[in-house]
Amino acid sequence: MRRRILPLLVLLLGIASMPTDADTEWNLSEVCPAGFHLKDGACYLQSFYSDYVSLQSSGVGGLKTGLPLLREGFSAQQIDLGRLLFFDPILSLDGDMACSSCHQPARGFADGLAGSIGRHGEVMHRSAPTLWNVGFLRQLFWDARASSLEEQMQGPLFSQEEMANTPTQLLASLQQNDNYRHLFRLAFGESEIDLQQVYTALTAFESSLVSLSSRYDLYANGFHEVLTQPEIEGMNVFRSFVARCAECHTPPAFTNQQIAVIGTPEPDGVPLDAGVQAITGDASQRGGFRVPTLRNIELTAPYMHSGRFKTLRETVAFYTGGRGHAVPKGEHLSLHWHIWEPNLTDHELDLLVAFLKTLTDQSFTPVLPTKVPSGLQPVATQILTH
Amino acid sequence: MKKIIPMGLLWLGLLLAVPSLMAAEISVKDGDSIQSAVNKANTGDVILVYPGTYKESVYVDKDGITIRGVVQDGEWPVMEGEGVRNDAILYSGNDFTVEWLTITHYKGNAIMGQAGNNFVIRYNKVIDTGVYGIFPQFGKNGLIEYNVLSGIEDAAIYVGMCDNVDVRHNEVFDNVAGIEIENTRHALVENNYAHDNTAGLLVFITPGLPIKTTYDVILRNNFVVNNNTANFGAAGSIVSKVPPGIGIVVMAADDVIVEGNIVSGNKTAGIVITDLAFITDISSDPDSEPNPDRMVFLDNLMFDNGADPVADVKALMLTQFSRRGPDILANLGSAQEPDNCIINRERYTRFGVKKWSECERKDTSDILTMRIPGGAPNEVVTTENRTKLLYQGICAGCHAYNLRMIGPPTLTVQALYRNDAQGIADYIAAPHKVRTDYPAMPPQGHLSPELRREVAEYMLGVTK
Amino acid sequence: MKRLALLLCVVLAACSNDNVPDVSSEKAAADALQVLQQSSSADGKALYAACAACHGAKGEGNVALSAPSLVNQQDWYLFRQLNGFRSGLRGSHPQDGYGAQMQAIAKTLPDEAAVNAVVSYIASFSAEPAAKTLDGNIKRGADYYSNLCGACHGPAAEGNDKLQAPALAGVDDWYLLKQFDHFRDGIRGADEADRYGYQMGMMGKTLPDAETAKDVIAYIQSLAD
Repeated sequence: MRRRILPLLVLLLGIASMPTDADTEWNLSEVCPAGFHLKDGACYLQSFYSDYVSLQSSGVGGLKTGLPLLREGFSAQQIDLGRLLFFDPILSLDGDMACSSCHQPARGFADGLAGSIGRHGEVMHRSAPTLWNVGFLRQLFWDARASSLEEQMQGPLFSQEEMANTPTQLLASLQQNDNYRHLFRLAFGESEIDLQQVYTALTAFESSLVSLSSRYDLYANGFHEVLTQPEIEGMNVFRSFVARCAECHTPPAFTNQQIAVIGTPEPDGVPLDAGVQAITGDASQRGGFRVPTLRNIELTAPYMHSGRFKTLRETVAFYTGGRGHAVPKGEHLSLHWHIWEPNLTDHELDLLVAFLKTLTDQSFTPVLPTKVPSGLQPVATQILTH
Repeated sequence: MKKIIPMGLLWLGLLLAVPSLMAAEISVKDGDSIQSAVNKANTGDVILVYPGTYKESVYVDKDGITIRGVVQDGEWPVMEGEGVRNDAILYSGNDFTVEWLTITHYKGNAIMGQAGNNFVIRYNKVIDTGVYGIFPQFGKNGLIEYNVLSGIEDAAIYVGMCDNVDVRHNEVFDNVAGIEIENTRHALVENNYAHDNTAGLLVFITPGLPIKTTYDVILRNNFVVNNNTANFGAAGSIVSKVPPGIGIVVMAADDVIVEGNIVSGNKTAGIVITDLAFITDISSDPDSEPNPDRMVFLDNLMFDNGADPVADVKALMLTQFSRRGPDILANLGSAQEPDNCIINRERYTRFGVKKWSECERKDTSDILTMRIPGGAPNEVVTTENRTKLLYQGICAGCHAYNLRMIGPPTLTVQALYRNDAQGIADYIAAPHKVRTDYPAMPPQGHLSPELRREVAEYMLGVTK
Repeated sequence: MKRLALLLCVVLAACSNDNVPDVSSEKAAADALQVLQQSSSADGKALYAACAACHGAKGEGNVALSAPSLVNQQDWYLFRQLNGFRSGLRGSHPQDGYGAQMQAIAKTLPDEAAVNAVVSYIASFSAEPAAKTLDGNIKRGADYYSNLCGACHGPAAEGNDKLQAPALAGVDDWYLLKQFDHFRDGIRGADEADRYGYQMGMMGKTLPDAETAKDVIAYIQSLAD
């Protein structure tokens, strides 16, 4: 009598198997991640918004508006390899930091800190942004200095303050690892690992972190009963031309992907962060930052580039504190025209916070690996979401 | 003949099966709430608002809704913001019409659209209300006509980031900006009366917005008169930087045709054509092309403009020929280049048009509208088809009909739960792992029991 | 007398298709009934003597008698099927001659205790995957299996008791094919009261053609090697 087929069979089953904890041999999923359909060997998003268009294909608009262009079309194997790399500290010089050190699944793919912690415990001067829906973004970093995820990731990978690796060292450590050689071959079909493959796999994984099934999304798609009356009122404050939140945090991505100078304060004693000006040298962009998405914002406190605001309530209150009220004396910023004097009531601020929490959706949290191909301890996979 | 009968039956069947496709009228009387009527309305319904005072903000997130005021013996329905309510009408639905309302004393906008194609906004009186009077944004194919707007501290009619819009037969006065076409393509502004604003008609590119262009705009047969009101725009707003006394401003927009307008009594200039440098102290945007290109200036009646220009223009005049301000002022830079054209230039006092070429086009009588014949296509969401959307939006992300995805194929779910939609509805509220090689399903407990049941039944009926 | 009548029914029911048991099968079934009449409900070994006539002394099956091996089938599944035969949920279709045979025999098991006893006895046999008898395109079969079958029967066809989907790996391929055809053609699992059978009846109609079914079963067979 056979009650259970030997586990070995699971391993031999090369087809379409999700990586499971029982694996002792490394393999990659042939199945696209949640929310993605396989078409011609590549994974494409299927969402509420798939059948909508947007004006000028801009990916901004109202409730039923098509999404911004997504980085998609990666193979299931590339995405799955990226998933393993993402949590693997082999990417850092000291073997103790991974992408997930600062982008933790349990913290909305941010890290819950005002400034992330660097290689030697130093505190970075900007807050790690969420990676939810990062594949929709055309510019990365708070100061928008990277125009692709591939370009962006080379910042932390090779920064002396962060993962401190070098291209040569990173490549060597992967090439010396049998598991990775095998997995890269599965994902890319080439016999040699190269850095572009590393960037592609991580981009593929990060772009699969899609959050578009929140209660807000249900409302937007005709299920009005899923939001409570205060949440709907909060949404109306959000999109009103008094609070004007939706003018920059425009649905469906809840960012219009522009640079905005809004004049938020730095932590006490810290000089003004010049933001985009430090990259472009353009004085009119002093203090300018990329408008961040508000999706899953409930999970990613503290807020703003400096992490100065601990709560959403504190954050929304900033906008009714008076145009330029937190700009240091002697500084001139070309503040955005939507930063004005909306005179929101305390009640309206509460409603805004209630609405922002309807944007929470982690249903497509990826499977968090319990081990990674390097044999090192995977980083920040402790809290399983479901 | 053979074909006609089945078609007729098909339509009859559709009407019987989908009762809400038949438009209903919902009456709202003084003391009732317009929003309650919107909440009850289905696609195609008309909400009739009878004379009375309505102290509310109304939002419309459904498709195909009409809000129509009923004016009786000169009595109008009035939406009253009392200086504390944000916007009077907020819509995101497609095929939305709002008409015959008086709107006053709101903090934000009178009528504001965020997306929503095929909008119609007409026969409204907007008086002394917040920031913008009528502001469709991200909409395709719209009509704004026969509205009267005054006392708006920004633009009375502001078409922002839209395509294919006609703005006709409106009167705008005592506002900072009369009619503003901004980051919008294919707009016809015709037969409007813009008087006593800070500036009458504005065709703009504003930098820093996600849709970057303005082109293919016709300003035709408008009265643009005596726009000399001191600027009372809010500090920091873009229009607060517009000098008073300008009839028409074309900033950075391309392919703008100006024809048949009567432009007079505007004390700084009749028309200003300029690049983005006109607006100062705004964060620059390298993706916004700053130059006005291919301006087409046909026959217009212009007189008595520039009688008392603002200091900057006065200084400019002094360097030139005249102490009298101009009908036409092409500002320094690209506005003066020969890709712009004009006919009968000698009729106007003018600055900066020396290099402009002669226009080949003499009139625009061939263009009757900028709207799209038949309207913009929409994905209409109704109570009938929203379940399909829910299935596609949530379930189909992980379940394909007959293929393994992140979840098992729909076919197997149908086999396991035949005649048991409730079983699915219960399971998805709190899923437990039943398959070793599939990840656990994310719980859908935030969906109400009714919605879970609704989508479960849909799933059992999916056939591809 | 009653049992004789049942046997008569079996013979009468089996008509006009390839599911008609042949003479030797009829003989074996009759022997089984004889044995069962003399057995006590608690003694699985004694009860199994009736099964052994067709399914073999060690549950190895006998293709000549269209009796599948039992050793790779799970106890809970055998229990459910025996009860299905006993209640008439299975083996009642007029074209299911072998099913009718099995139904007649199962109905002689006096009570659930007897069913339990015989299943427990079968569970004591050592598992031995059935020999391969079919050829098919294993790669193609694997694709279909993964997409349509694995969701319930498991990634290695090891079964999933939570879904009441039996293990398929190790079961005779010729038997799987016959049962699949029965599900597809409504000979098995057409009765809505047979909840799990009906599920498989629906799935049996989802493969495009008979060739594909063979490919899938060839793949399942390969999993047991």
